[in-house]
Amino acid sequence: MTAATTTVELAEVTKSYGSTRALDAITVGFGRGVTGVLGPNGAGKTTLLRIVATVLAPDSGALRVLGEDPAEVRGRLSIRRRLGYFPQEPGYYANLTTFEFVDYIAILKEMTVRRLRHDEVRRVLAQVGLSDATHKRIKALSGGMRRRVIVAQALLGDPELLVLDEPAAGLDPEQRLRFRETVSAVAERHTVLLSTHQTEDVTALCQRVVVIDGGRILHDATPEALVEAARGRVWLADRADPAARLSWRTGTGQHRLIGDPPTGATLAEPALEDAYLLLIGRPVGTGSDAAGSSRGR
Amino acid sequence: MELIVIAAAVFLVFRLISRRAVVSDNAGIVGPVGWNPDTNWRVLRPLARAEMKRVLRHPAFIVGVILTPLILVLAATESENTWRSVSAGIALALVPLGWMTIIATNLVALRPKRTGTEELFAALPAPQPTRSSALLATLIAPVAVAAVLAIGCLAFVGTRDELRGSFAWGDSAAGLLIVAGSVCVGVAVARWLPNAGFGLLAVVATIVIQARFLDVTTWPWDRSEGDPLRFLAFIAEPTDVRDRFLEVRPSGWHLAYLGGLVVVMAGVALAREGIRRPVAVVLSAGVLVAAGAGWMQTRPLSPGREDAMVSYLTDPGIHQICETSAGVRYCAYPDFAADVTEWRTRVDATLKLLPTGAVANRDPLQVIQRPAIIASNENCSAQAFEYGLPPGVAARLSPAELWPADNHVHPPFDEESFPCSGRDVHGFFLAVQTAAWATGLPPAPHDDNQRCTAGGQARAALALWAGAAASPDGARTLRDATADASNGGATMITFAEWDDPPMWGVVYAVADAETALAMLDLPVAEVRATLDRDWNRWTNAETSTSTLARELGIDAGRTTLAATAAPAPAGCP
Repeated sequence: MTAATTTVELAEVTKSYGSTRALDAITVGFGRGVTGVLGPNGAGKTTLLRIVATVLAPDSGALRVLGEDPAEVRGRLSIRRRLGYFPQEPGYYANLTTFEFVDYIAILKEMTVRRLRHDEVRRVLAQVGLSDATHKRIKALSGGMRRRVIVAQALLGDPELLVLDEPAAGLDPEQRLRFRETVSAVAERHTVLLSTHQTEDVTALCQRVVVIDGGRILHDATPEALVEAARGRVWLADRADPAARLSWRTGTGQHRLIGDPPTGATLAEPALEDAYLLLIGRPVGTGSDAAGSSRGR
Repeated sequence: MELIVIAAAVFLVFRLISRRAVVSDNAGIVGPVGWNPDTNWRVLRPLARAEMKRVLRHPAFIVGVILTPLILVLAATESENTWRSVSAGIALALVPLGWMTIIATNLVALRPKRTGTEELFAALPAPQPTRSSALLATLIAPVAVAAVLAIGCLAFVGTRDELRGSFAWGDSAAGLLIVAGSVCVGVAVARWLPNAGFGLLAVVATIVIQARFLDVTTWPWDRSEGDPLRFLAFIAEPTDVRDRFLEVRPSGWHLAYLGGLVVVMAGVALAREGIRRPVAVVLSAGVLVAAGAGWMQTRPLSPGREDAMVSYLTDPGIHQICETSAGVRYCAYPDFAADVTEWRTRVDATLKLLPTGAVANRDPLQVIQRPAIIASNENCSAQAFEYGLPPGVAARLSPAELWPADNHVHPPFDEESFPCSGRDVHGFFLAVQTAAWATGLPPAPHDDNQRCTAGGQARAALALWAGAAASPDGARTLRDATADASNGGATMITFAEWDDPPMWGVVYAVADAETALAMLDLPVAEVRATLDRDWNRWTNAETSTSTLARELGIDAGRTTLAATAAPAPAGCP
C-alpha cells in the first residue's frame, strides 16, 4: 500500500489503561475500501478505532489520519470534518425525533445551510431505511432502528473516512444486508474501518482483514489469504475429537474439527471463521486475557 | 432554614456525583477541539437555535414557566400598593425561573455526558467554544419568555387603579438579567464541573448569595436596612421607608452590575477552553463593568443628596403639596397627594360627629404627612423608620426633628392596610387621630415614639368612639383590637398582633375602648346630644370614662371600665 492511497497510518502506536496494554506498538495503515478489524473482546479493537477517530490519544507512536496529525488541534479539526464515526456505545437523545437528532449532529458537522442540511439528513435517513421514522422519537424505536440512526449520522456529508465499531450488532438479516450495501457503496470512494465480531460481514464486505489480539496485530491481509491459512486444518468427522483445538457439532450431525487431522476425518473447505479461530485459538466473542472485559478495549 | 437547604443540596450533589462516577466509561476521551483559527462560526446560529429548543422544552424550564405567573401574580397583589414595590416584585418573582433555567441549561450542556453520547459528539468537528457560545446564546429564549411573563403580569397589575407612583422598568429589568445570567451560570458550571449535581449546587449558591446580600441587617453584614450594600444582591428589594424619595435605588447601575456579572459568567464558561484574547476581553469587560457598577451603586450618598433627604423629612413644608379645605390644612408628599381626598373625607366625617363649637377656639387643624415612627418591615416585624434610611441620612436626623410634638394630625406614608396580618382599617387610625386632636389629646406620637396613657379619661373613650363611628370598618377594627388585648389579659391596647402600631399619640385602655364600643351601639344623635350639652366637661382630663358612661346610660356591667377604671387621669395632660 503506497502513501498516496493510505488514509490512516499508525506507527508504533501504544495505548495502555493502567497496567493493561490495549495497543502494543501497532504499526498499520488503512486505505480505500473496507478493512475489517477482527478480534476477541478486550483485544484492542475499540481502542484502535477510537484513536483513528481522534477521540482517544495514543500514549506513544506516530499517527496520521487523512494526511493530518490528530495531536494538533487544527489537524484534529480537519480530520473530524472528514470523518464519520459509529462508536461502540453511541448513546442517543431519546426524546428527540430521528430527524431532530441527525439534524443536530449535522449542525455539529458544520452543515450551516438549513435547506441543504435538511436534504442531507433526509438522504442519509433514506439510505439506512428510516424515511418512515423521521418523526418518531428515538425512544420509540427498536434497538436495530436506533443503530441505523447512528449509521445515518456517520454517513452525513459523505465522509472520507468511516470508522464503524460493531455497527451491525442487533441488526436483523435484512437490515444487515442493507447495511452491507450502504457501506460497500461508501467504500468505493472512501476508507471504511469496520470492527465486528461477525466474520460473515467481513467475508461479504472487506477487501482486507486485520486480526488483533492482546493489543497486537496477528494477521493483516485479505480475507481470502486468512482463509487459505486455514486450508488443511479444518475437518469433518462423525464424532468429536478431544485432540482438536476446537470442535462443534454442525446442523448435519457431523462434527467440525479445527486443528490437526483426527483419524477417519474428511478435509473440509475452511471458512473465515475457522481461520480466525485457528489464529486466536478460541471462538469469536470470548476474552483474550484476564484483563479483558465485556466491553471493547 | 438556609442550613437545611444547603445540607440537603450537598447530600443530593454527592449522591449524584458518586452515581455518575460509577457509570462513566469515557475516561481519556479527547473532547471537542478548543480555540483554533479554523473555527467555522457560522455554526453558531443554527446550533444556538437547536439548543434553544432543548432549553425551552426542558422539564425544569417548563416547571419554572408554569410557576412564574403564579409567583408574579402573588408578588404583584401581595405587595404594597405602589408601583415601586410591584416593579421590584416582578424582578424577584423571576428569580425562581432563573433557578430552573440554571438547572435546565446545565443539564442541556451536560447532555452528551448524561446520555452516553459524549464519545460520538467528541468526534464531531464543531469546536467546544462554538458549542459553549451557542449554549450561551440560548439566553435569548428564556429572557424572551421571562419578558412575556413580566409584561403579562404588568397588564394584569395595570388593572389595579390604586397603585401609586410610576412603574420602575429598571427594577423589573433586573429580573430579565437574572434569567440571562442563569443561562451563563448553567453553562459555566457544566463546563468546569461537569456533573449535574454541581448545577444544583450552583442554584443553592445563588440562593445563599442572594439571601446574604438581600438582607444586610443580618450576619455577616449587620448593617441597617437602608445600607446600599444590599444592591450587591442580584435583586435588591425596596426598603420599608415607603417613599421613593427617601430610597436611593440606583437602578441603572444595578442593571450594569448585573450585566457585568452575566458577561463574567459567559467569559468563565468560554475560558474552560483556554483564555484566548476574545475571552480575556469579555472577562475583563465583565469584571470592570461589574466592579465599577457595584462600587457606584454602593458608594455613600453625595452630600447634596443627603441634604435633600434630610430636608425632605425635617422641612416637609418645602416638599409637600398642601391645600386647605373647610379650615383644615392638608399636606402630603408628592407621591401621596392623591390620598388627601381620603383624608379629607375621614376628617370631615369625624369632626361632623362632634359638637359644632367643639374646635372653635382651637388653632386650625393641620393634617401633615409624616413617616410612621415604627413600621412593619418585609418580614412583618416592627422596625424603626430610620433603619430603612441610608446610613448617612439616618445619622443626621434626630427623633425630635422628625417627630416634633406639634399637636398636628400625622397620617403616615403607608395606607392603613396591614398585609402581614391581613387587615385593612380604611381610615380608622386617621379618624382616631383627628378625634384625639378634637378632644385635646395628643393626636400622634412624638420624639422617640413618646405616647401618653389616658386610661379612664372620658375623652379617650370619645376619641375612639368618634374615630370608629367616622370610618367604614371602624367598629369592627376597634372590636378586634380590643379583643386582641383583652384576650391576652392586657389592660392597654398595644396592637401586639398587628404588623405595627398606629400613629396614635395615646395608648388607649381596653376599658375605654369597651365604653367606646358600647357607645357605638347607641344612636349617634343621642351621643351627640350628650356631648353638645357639655363638651368642655367631657374633654376635660379630669372627667372619667365612668362618668360619661353613666351619663349615656351605658350598663355598668357591659364594660370592665365601670368597675375598674380609675377616675383619675393618667399620663396625658
